[in-house]
Amino acid sequence: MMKQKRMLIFIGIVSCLVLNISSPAMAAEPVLGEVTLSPEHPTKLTTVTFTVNVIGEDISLAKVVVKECDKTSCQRTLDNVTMQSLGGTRYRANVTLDYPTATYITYWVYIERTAGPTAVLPDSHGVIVNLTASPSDGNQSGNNSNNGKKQPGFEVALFIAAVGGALILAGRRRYR
Amino acid sequence: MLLLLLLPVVQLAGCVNSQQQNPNVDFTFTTLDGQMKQLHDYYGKVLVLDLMGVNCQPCGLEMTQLKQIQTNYSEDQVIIISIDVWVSQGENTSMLRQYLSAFQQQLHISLNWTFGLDDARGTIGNTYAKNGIPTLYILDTKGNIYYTHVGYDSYRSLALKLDQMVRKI
Repeated sequence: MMKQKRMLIFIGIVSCLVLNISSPAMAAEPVLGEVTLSPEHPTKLTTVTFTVNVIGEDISLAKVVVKECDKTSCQRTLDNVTMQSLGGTRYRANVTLDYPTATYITYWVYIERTAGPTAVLPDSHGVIVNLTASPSDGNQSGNNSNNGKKQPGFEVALFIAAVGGALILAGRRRYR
Repeated sequence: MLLLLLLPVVQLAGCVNSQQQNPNVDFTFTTLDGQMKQLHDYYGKVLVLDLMGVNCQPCGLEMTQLKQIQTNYSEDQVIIISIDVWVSQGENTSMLRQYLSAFQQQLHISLNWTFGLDDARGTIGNTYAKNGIPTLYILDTKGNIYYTHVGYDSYRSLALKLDQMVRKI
Protein backbone atom coordinates (compact mmCIF):
# COMPACT_ATOMS: atom_id res chain seq x y z
CA MET A 1 0.00 0.00 0.00
CA MET A 2 2.76 2.40 1.01
CA LYS A 3 4.76 1.35 -2.00
CA GLN A 4 1.84 2.18 -4.30
CA LYS A 5 1.44 5.60 -2.73
CA ARG A 6 5.11 6.35 -3.13
CA MET A 7 4.91 5.22 -6.75
CA LEU A 8 1.97 7.50 -7.43
CA ILE A 9 3.74 10.46 -5.86
CA PHE A 10 6.88 9.71 -7.85
CA ILE A 11 4.91 9.50 -11.10
CA GLY A 12 3.19 12.77 -10.30
CA ILE A 13 6.48 14.57 -9.68
CA VAL A 14 8.03 13.17 -12.85
CA SER A 15 4.97 14.15 -14.90
CA CYS A 16 5.16 17.72 -13.64
CA LEU A 17 8.84 17.93 -14.49
CA VAL A 18 8.27 16.56 -17.96
CA LEU A 19 5.45 19.01 -18.64
CA ASN A 20 7.53 21.95 -17.49
CA ILE A 21 10.43 20.96 -19.69
CA SER A 22 8.40 20.20 -22.79
CA SER A 23 6.14 23.25 -22.82
CA PRO A 24 7.77 26.32 -24.33
CA ALA A 25 8.43 29.30 -22.11
CA MET A 26 5.84 32.05 -22.88
CA ALA A 27 6.72 35.72 -22.71
CA ALA A 28 4.59 37.50 -20.16
CA GLU A 29 1.73 39.52 -21.61
CA PRO A 30 2.49 43.23 -21.62
CA VAL A 31 0.72 45.34 -19.04
CA LEU A 32 -0.19 49.00 -19.30
CA GLY A 33 1.11 50.95 -16.35
CA GLU A 34 0.75 54.63 -15.67
CA VAL A 35 -0.46 56.88 -18.49
CA THR A 36 -0.14 60.63 -18.34
CA LEU A 37 -1.58 63.18 -20.71
CA SER A 38 -0.20 66.63 -21.13
CA PRO A 39 -2.18 68.77 -20.80
CA GLU A 40 -4.06 66.73 -18.26
CA HIS A 41 -7.38 68.16 -19.48
CA PRO A 42 -6.91 68.54 -23.22
CA THR A 43 -9.10 70.64 -25.46
CA LYS A 44 -10.05 69.94 -29.05
CA LEU A 45 -7.77 71.09 -31.86
CA THR A 46 -4.70 71.05 -29.61
CA THR A 47 -1.66 68.81 -29.29
CA VAL A 48 -1.70 66.21 -26.54
CA THR A 49 1.41 64.40 -25.31
CA PHE A 50 0.80 60.80 -24.26
CA THR A 51 3.43 59.26 -21.97
CA VAL A 52 2.79 55.61 -21.18
CA ASN A 53 4.45 52.93 -19.14
CA VAL A 54 4.31 49.51 -20.81
CA ILE A 55 5.65 46.63 -18.78
CA GLY A 56 6.43 43.55 -20.81
CA GLU A 57 8.97 41.52 -22.72
CA ASP A 58 9.99 41.54 -26.37
CA ILE A 59 8.22 44.82 -27.14
CA SER A 60 9.37 46.02 -30.54
CA LEU A 61 6.92 48.86 -31.09
CA ALA A 62 4.31 50.80 -29.19
CA LYS A 63 1.62 52.84 -30.91
CA VAL A 64 -1.10 54.99 -29.46
CA VAL A 65 -4.44 54.94 -31.24
CA VAL A 66 -6.56 58.01 -30.62
CA LYS A 67 -10.11 58.39 -31.80
CA GLU A 68 -11.85 61.72 -31.65
CA CYS A 69 -15.58 61.50 -31.07
CA ASP A 70 -18.62 63.62 -30.55
CA LYS A 71 -22.00 62.34 -29.46
CA THR A 72 -22.89 60.98 -32.89
CA SER A 73 -19.71 59.57 -34.42
CA CYS A 74 -16.02 58.81 -34.04
CA GLN A 75 -13.48 59.84 -36.64
CA ARG A 76 -10.81 57.80 -38.29
CA THR A 77 -8.04 60.28 -37.74
CA LEU A 78 -4.93 59.72 -35.68
CA ASP A 79 -4.55 56.02 -36.30
CA ASN A 80 -1.58 54.25 -34.86
CA VAL A 81 0.79 57.03 -33.89
CA THR A 82 4.16 55.38 -33.25
CA MET A 83 5.53 56.21 -29.83
CA GLN A 84 9.11 57.16 -29.10
CA SER A 85 10.90 54.98 -26.56
CA LEU A 86 12.21 56.98 -23.62
CA GLY A 87 14.20 54.07 -22.31
CA GLY A 88 13.09 51.40 -19.90
CA THR A 89 9.34 50.92 -20.05
CA ARG A 90 8.31 54.45 -21.02
CA TYR A 91 7.03 55.64 -24.37
CA ARG A 92 5.84 59.01 -25.59
CA ALA A 93 3.94 60.44 -28.55
CA ASN A 94 2.48 63.81 -29.51
CA VAL A 95 -0.94 63.71 -31.07
CA THR A 96 -2.62 66.73 -32.62
CA LEU A 97 -6.38 66.68 -32.41
CA ASP A 98 -8.10 67.95 -35.53
CA TYR A 99 -11.79 67.10 -35.32
CA PRO A 100 -13.59 70.44 -34.86
CA THR A 101 -16.63 69.12 -33.01
CA ALA A 102 -14.95 66.48 -30.85
CA THR A 103 -16.16 66.34 -27.28
CA TYR A 104 -14.05 63.40 -26.11
CA ILE A 105 -11.26 61.12 -27.20
CA THR A 106 -10.83 57.44 -26.67
CA TYR A 107 -7.35 55.96 -26.82
CA TRP A 108 -5.52 52.71 -26.43
CA VAL A 109 -1.97 51.46 -26.87
CA TYR A 110 -1.14 48.93 -29.52
CA ILE A 111 1.93 46.78 -28.89
CA GLU A 112 3.96 44.82 -31.40
CA ARG A 113 6.36 42.23 -30.08
CA THR A 114 9.38 40.44 -31.50
CA ALA A 115 8.02 37.15 -30.21
CA GLY A 116 4.35 36.74 -29.58
CA PRO A 117 1.13 38.24 -30.80
CA THR A 118 0.30 41.95 -30.83
CA ALA A 119 -1.48 43.29 -27.80
CA VAL A 120 -3.98 46.05 -27.22
CA LEU A 121 -3.92 47.78 -23.86
CA PRO A 122 -6.24 48.03 -22.07
CA ASP A 123 -7.39 44.72 -23.51
CA SER A 124 -11.12 45.22 -23.16
CA HIS A 125 -11.88 48.81 -24.13
CA GLY A 126 -10.25 52.17 -24.78
CA VAL A 127 -9.78 54.91 -22.23
CA ILE A 128 -12.18 57.80 -22.59
CA VAL A 129 -11.02 61.34 -21.91
CA ASN A 130 -13.51 64.18 -22.05
CA LEU A 131 -12.22 67.23 -23.82
CA THR A 132 -12.40 70.51 -21.99
CA ALA A 133 -14.35 73.20 -23.79
CA SER A 134 -12.02 75.65 -25.46
CA PRO A 135 -12.51 79.42 -25.06
CA SER A 136 -13.49 79.77 -28.72
CA ASP A 137 -16.37 77.27 -28.44
CA GLY A 138 -18.91 79.98 -27.67
CA ASN A 139 -17.94 81.96 -30.76
CA GLN A 140 -18.36 79.15 -33.25
CA SER A 141 -21.46 79.29 -35.40
CA GLY A 142 -21.83 75.51 -35.14
CA ASN A 143 -22.53 74.96 -38.77
CA ASN A 144 -20.62 71.71 -38.92
CA SER A 145 -23.45 69.60 -37.59
CA ASN A 146 -24.95 68.58 -40.89
CA ASN A 147 -22.89 65.38 -41.04
CA GLY A 148 -21.12 66.58 -44.15
CA LYS A 149 -24.26 66.56 -46.25
CA LYS A 150 -24.05 69.44 -48.64
CA GLN A 151 -26.90 70.55 -50.85
CA PRO A 152 -25.84 73.97 -52.12
CA GLY A 153 -28.07 73.67 -55.12
CA PHE A 154 -31.27 74.48 -53.23
CA GLU A 155 -29.88 77.69 -51.78
CA VAL A 156 -28.72 78.85 -55.20
CA ALA A 157 -32.05 77.85 -56.71
CA LEU A 158 -34.02 79.90 -54.21
CA PHE A 159 -31.82 82.94 -54.72
CA ILE A 160 -32.05 82.84 -58.50
CA ALA A 161 -35.81 82.24 -58.36
CA ALA A 162 -36.21 85.25 -56.07
CA VAL A 163 -34.13 87.47 -58.35
CA GLY A 164 -35.98 86.20 -61.44
CA GLY A 165 -39.36 86.79 -59.83
CA ALA A 166 -38.38 90.30 -58.77
CA LEU A 167 -37.17 91.15 -62.30
CA ILE A 168 -40.39 89.89 -63.86
CA LEU A 169 -42.54 91.89 -61.43
CA ALA A 170 -40.46 95.00 -62.07
CA GLY A 171 -40.86 94.49 -65.81
CA ARG A 172 -44.65 94.19 -65.55
CA ARG A 173 -44.97 97.41 -63.53
CA ARG A 174 -42.96 99.30 -66.14
CA TYR A 175 -45.36 98.28 -68.94
CA ARG A 176 -48.52 99.36 -67.08
CA MET B 1 -40.77 83.32 -69.15
CA LEU B 2 -40.55 82.31 -65.52
CA LEU B 3 -40.40 78.63 -66.45
CA LEU B 4 -37.51 79.24 -68.87
CA LEU B 5 -35.63 81.09 -66.15
CA LEU B 6 -36.14 78.34 -63.62
CA LEU B 7 -35.27 75.42 -65.92
CA PRO B 8 -31.46 75.63 -65.61
CA VAL B 9 -31.84 76.29 -61.90
CA VAL B 10 -33.76 73.08 -61.40
CA GLN B 11 -31.11 71.20 -63.33
CA LEU B 12 -28.31 72.62 -61.20
CA ALA B 13 -29.96 72.18 -57.84
CA GLY B 14 -30.50 69.12 -55.69
CA CYS B 15 -28.30 66.66 -57.49
CA VAL B 16 -27.04 65.06 -54.28
CA ASN B 17 -29.75 62.45 -53.77
CA SER B 18 -30.65 62.05 -57.41
CA GLN B 19 -31.52 58.93 -59.32
CA GLN B 20 -27.88 58.42 -60.28
CA GLN B 21 -26.79 54.81 -60.26
CA ASN B 22 -25.15 53.91 -56.97
CA PRO B 23 -22.43 51.30 -57.09
CA ASN B 24 -23.11 48.10 -55.27
CA VAL B 25 -21.25 47.32 -52.09
CA ASP B 26 -19.27 44.11 -51.84
CA PHE B 27 -16.35 42.99 -49.74
CA THR B 28 -14.91 40.06 -47.82
CA PHE B 29 -15.14 39.90 -44.06
CA THR B 30 -14.45 37.39 -41.30
CA THR B 31 -17.28 36.24 -39.09
CA LEU B 32 -16.94 35.80 -35.34
CA ASP B 33 -16.39 32.09 -35.76
CA GLY B 34 -13.59 32.65 -38.22
CA GLN B 35 -15.37 32.04 -41.52
CA MET B 36 -14.61 34.18 -44.55
CA LYS B 37 -17.77 35.57 -46.09
CA GLN B 38 -18.61 37.83 -49.01
CA LEU B 39 -21.25 40.50 -48.61
CA HIS B 40 -22.87 39.32 -51.84
CA ASP B 41 -23.69 36.06 -50.06
CA TYR B 42 -26.41 38.11 -48.37
CA TYR B 43 -27.88 39.72 -51.48
CA GLY B 44 -31.50 38.99 -52.20
CA LYS B 45 -32.78 40.83 -49.13
CA VAL B 46 -32.60 44.40 -47.93
CA LEU B 47 -29.31 44.80 -46.07
CA VAL B 48 -28.61 47.16 -43.21
CA LEU B 49 -24.84 47.42 -43.12
CA ASP B 50 -23.40 48.89 -39.95
CA LEU B 51 -19.68 49.75 -39.94
CA MET B 52 -18.64 50.14 -36.32
CA GLY B 53 -15.95 49.74 -33.71
CA VAL B 54 -15.92 48.33 -30.22
CA ASN B 55 -14.40 51.47 -28.74
CA CYS B 56 -16.88 53.77 -30.42
CA GLN B 57 -19.59 54.91 -28.03
CA PRO B 58 -21.94 56.26 -30.69
CA CYS B 59 -21.69 52.84 -32.35
CA GLY B 60 -22.92 51.30 -29.13
CA LEU B 61 -25.90 53.64 -29.11
CA GLU B 62 -26.60 52.67 -32.69
CA MET B 63 -26.82 49.03 -31.62
CA THR B 64 -29.95 49.80 -29.64
CA GLN B 65 -31.57 51.22 -32.76
CA LEU B 66 -30.49 48.25 -34.85
CA LYS B 67 -32.00 45.98 -32.24
CA GLN B 68 -35.33 47.67 -32.83
CA ILE B 69 -34.96 46.97 -36.53
CA GLN B 70 -34.29 43.34 -35.82
CA THR B 71 -37.36 43.18 -33.62
CA ASN B 72 -39.71 44.91 -36.03
CA TYR B 73 -38.64 43.49 -39.39
CA SER B 74 -38.51 39.83 -40.29
CA GLU B 75 -35.29 38.24 -41.45
CA ASP B 76 -37.03 37.40 -44.71
CA GLN B 77 -37.15 41.13 -45.42
CA VAL B 78 -34.20 42.78 -43.71
CA ILE B 79 -30.79 41.47 -42.67
CA ILE B 80 -28.44 43.39 -40.40
CA ILE B 81 -24.68 43.01 -40.67
CA SER B 82 -22.29 44.83 -38.35
CA ILE B 83 -18.61 44.96 -39.27
CA ASP B 84 -15.87 46.08 -36.91
CA VAL B 85 -13.67 48.30 -39.05
CA TRP B 86 -11.14 49.16 -36.35
CA VAL B 87 -9.29 45.87 -36.64
CA SER B 88 -6.32 47.69 -38.16
CA GLN B 89 -6.13 49.68 -34.93
CA GLY B 90 -6.02 46.65 -32.72
CA GLU B 91 -9.61 45.52 -32.22
CA ASN B 92 -10.10 41.80 -32.60
CA THR B 93 -12.54 38.92 -32.33
CA SER B 94 -12.07 38.59 -28.60
CA MET B 95 -12.89 42.25 -27.98
CA LEU B 96 -15.94 42.05 -30.19
CA ARG B 97 -17.17 38.97 -28.36
CA GLN B 98 -16.69 40.75 -25.02
CA TYR B 99 -18.59 43.71 -26.39
CA LEU B 100 -21.56 41.57 -27.38
CA SER B 101 -21.43 39.77 -24.08
CA ALA B 102 -21.47 43.09 -22.22
CA PHE B 103 -24.63 44.14 -24.06
CA GLN B 104 -26.25 40.89 -23.04
CA GLN B 105 -25.15 40.96 -19.42
CA GLN B 106 -25.42 44.64 -18.61
CA LEU B 107 -28.21 45.85 -20.85
CA HIS B 108 -30.01 42.54 -21.41
CA ILE B 109 -29.92 43.15 -25.14
CA SER B 110 -28.89 40.26 -27.31
CA LEU B 111 -27.32 41.47 -30.52
CA ASN B 112 -27.88 38.31 -32.46
CA TRP B 113 -27.42 39.34 -36.04
CA THR B 114 -24.34 38.82 -38.19
CA PHE B 115 -21.16 40.35 -36.84
CA GLY B 116 -17.85 40.35 -38.63
CA LEU B 117 -14.44 41.97 -38.78
CA ASP B 118 -12.46 43.89 -41.34
CA ASP B 119 -9.03 42.68 -42.33
CA ALA B 120 -5.82 43.90 -40.68
CA ARG B 121 -5.27 46.46 -43.44
CA GLY B 122 -8.64 48.08 -42.84
CA THR B 123 -9.86 47.47 -46.39
CA ILE B 124 -13.56 47.85 -45.59
CA GLY B 125 -13.11 50.86 -43.34
CA ASN B 126 -10.82 52.65 -45.79
CA THR B 127 -13.37 52.18 -48.55
CA TYR B 128 -16.75 52.51 -46.90
CA ALA B 129 -16.20 54.36 -43.61
CA LYS B 130 -13.81 57.14 -44.52
CA ASN B 131 -15.80 59.82 -42.75
CA GLY B 132 -16.14 58.16 -39.40
CA ILE B 133 -18.21 55.54 -37.67
CA PRO B 134 -20.82 54.40 -37.27
CA THR B 135 -21.45 54.52 -40.98
CA LEU B 136 -24.73 52.94 -41.99
CA TYR B 137 -25.80 51.72 -45.39
CA ILE B 138 -29.16 50.44 -46.54
CA LEU B 139 -28.59 48.27 -49.59
CA ASP B 140 -31.18 46.94 -51.98
CA THR B 141 -31.46 43.27 -52.88
CA LYS B 142 -28.61 43.62 -55.37
CA GLY B 143 -26.29 45.40 -53.00
CA ASN B 144 -26.81 48.87 -54.44
CA ILE B 145 -26.69 51.74 -51.99
CA TYR B 146 -30.14 53.10 -51.27
CA TYR B 147 -29.23 55.18 -48.23
CA THR B 148 -26.11 56.03 -46.28
CA HIS B 149 -25.51 57.96 -43.12
CA VAL B 150 -22.42 58.79 -41.07
CA GLY B 151 -22.99 58.94 -37.34
CA TYR B 152 -25.76 57.87 -35.04
CA ASP B 153 -29.08 57.43 -36.86
CA SER B 154 -32.35 56.79 -35.07
CA TYR B 155 -34.60 53.80 -35.57
CA ARG B 156 -37.32 56.13 -36.79
CA SER B 157 -35.13 57.52 -39.54
CA LEU B 158 -33.92 54.09 -40.59
CA ALA B 159 -37.41 52.61 -40.51
CA LEU B 160 -38.70 55.30 -42.88
CA LYS B 161 -36.08 54.26 -45.42
CA LEU B 162 -36.55 50.56 -44.82
CA ASP B 163 -40.29 50.79 -45.30
CA GLN B 164 -39.71 52.44 -48.67
CA MET B 165 -37.30 49.68 -49.66
CA VAL B 166 -39.43 46.82 -48.43
CA ARG B 167 -42.45 48.14 -50.33
CA LYS B 168 -40.49 47.98 -53.57
CA ILE B 169 -39.72 44.28 -53.20
